Amino acid sequence: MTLAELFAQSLPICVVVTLVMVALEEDEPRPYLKHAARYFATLYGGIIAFALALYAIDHAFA
Amino acid sequence: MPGDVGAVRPEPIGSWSTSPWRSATLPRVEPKRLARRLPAILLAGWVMPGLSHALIGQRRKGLYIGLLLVGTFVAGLALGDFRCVSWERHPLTFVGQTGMGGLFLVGWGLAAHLPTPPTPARLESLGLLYSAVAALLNWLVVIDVYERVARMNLPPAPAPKAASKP
Repeated sequence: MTLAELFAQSLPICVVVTLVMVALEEDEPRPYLKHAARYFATLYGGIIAFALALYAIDHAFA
Repeated sequence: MPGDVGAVRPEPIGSWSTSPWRSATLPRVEPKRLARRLPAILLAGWVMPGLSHALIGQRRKGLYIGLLLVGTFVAGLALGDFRCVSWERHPLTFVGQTGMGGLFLVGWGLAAHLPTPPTPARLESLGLLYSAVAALLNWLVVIDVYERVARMNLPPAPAPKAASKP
């Protein structure tokens, strides 16, 4: 699996996880979008950072 | 009363009485009655995602969560050619998929009755991921309902004491 495939395939699942988790945490619509944006950025950013780190390690020791 | 001006009545966290997620047409259910029916409510939430939220008065939130989780689980099943709920082929994912209740049983039945192809579906791993994540999220949804009902039944917080003068 290439990095691009990984990022493309994990994007929808990150969106779903974000929407469900933020809906469980928030009861008001006002902070919802801000919270969701922060949650998504952390989740997806974390996946990208982890994948890039593994990729770099893999290439360094290849 | 003059003494009550500016006084804020403490509302429990996640209170649905003021929540826009709650359907305005739904009558308020007594928290104690909800607590008595909690096992049935949690079971309903396991069988059908979002139903437990609807049963405690948060119909919109239940519908929202239900659509998201059912959509994701069905998309996962479709990506795996409706054969990805299988104890023999994917035991670990199977354990995760149990969280989806009714749809999990449907997926299991489909996988058992459909003929096994010589090669797995091209996107089967993605289907496994989608279905397992949706099912695991449903466990969290059920736990959230348990927590909400427990919070509704908490005794009201005592009023803060006025600072004693020296």
